[in-house]
Amino acid sequence: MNRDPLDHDADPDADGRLAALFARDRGPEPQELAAARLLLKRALARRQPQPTLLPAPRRARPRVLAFLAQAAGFALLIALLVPTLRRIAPSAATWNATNTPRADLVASLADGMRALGTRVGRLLPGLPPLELDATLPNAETIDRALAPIRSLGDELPAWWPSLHSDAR
Amino acid sequence: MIHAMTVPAKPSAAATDADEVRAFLAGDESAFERLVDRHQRRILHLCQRLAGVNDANDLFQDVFLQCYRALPQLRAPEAFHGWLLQITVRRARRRAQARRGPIGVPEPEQFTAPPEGDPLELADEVARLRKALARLPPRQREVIALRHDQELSFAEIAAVLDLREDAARANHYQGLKRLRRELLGDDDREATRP
Repeated sequence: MNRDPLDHDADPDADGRLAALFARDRGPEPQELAAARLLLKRALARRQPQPTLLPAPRRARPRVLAFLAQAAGFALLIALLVPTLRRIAPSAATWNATNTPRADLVASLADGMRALGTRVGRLLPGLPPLELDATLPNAETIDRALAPIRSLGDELPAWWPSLHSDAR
Repeated sequence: MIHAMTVPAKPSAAATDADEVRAFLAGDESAFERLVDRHQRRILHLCQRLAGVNDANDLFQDVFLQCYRALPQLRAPEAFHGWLLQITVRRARRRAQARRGPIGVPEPEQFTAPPEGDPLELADEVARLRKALARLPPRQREVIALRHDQELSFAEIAAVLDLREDAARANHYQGLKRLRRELLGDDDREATRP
């Protein structure tokens, strides 16, 4: 390394070591040179720079902001979903306090059968009258339909006998 | 020219850069190949110094593409080498401004091949030199690379960097001082380890 006239306080030993280091760092290795030359060949053929095999390092994304955005998204989703779910599904406490949902189910079944009897009678006037009461559900039909439930015995709900007797 | 570039053209020993530039301007495309052959190693080395190993290939092709496009406007073919170095420095600055980050310097184990001699020790020393160079301010790094890798005089460095000669010397002085401090500081720390 040539001595710099301005470098009055230079340490000769240090300068010697620096010069040796610069001399040892001989620059690009043959394979680096070959890779660069290949890229240059392609670039000149297309008259524009070609992407290298090593992608340029991407700037680190602001992870804190990304995390906060995700957290806010989840919170919004939960805030929207919870009221909807509450509206759709009654709470367990409500379900156990009254048997209204199950009683409603049986009542609507009876209404459906009643309506079915009426419609069949209207659509097929020429047929002999069905053995369905147009105004009341046929008690035997209901008994047959609900036989599997009745077979449950002790597990029958408390309201079952009263409905059975009403139907008759 | 383009299709023959895989096989390096044989430069004429007697032909100077100026001769090749004139030949290229006269329509001999292979003259550009010979110019690339002649300067590619030193330019890639400078690209690695100024842009880091990861970006060096991009800068390298950028430099020679610009050279190929602008060669017809070169008024003094004798100044080709300095002109090419000037393109390299300017393109490196432009890329650094766009990137706005530190230049990438690989760890010793990422070197494609260890230098001759004691591979591990030498690779480590070279890596430390490269890292210390990468931490220098851009102007000091440019001056030191042009001085020690390209072996230019201060007058030539001043012309390439569009500086006054004493400014080039001052940057060289400051850069060397900082390099000594960084490299010897590392040595001191290592020496004091138990």
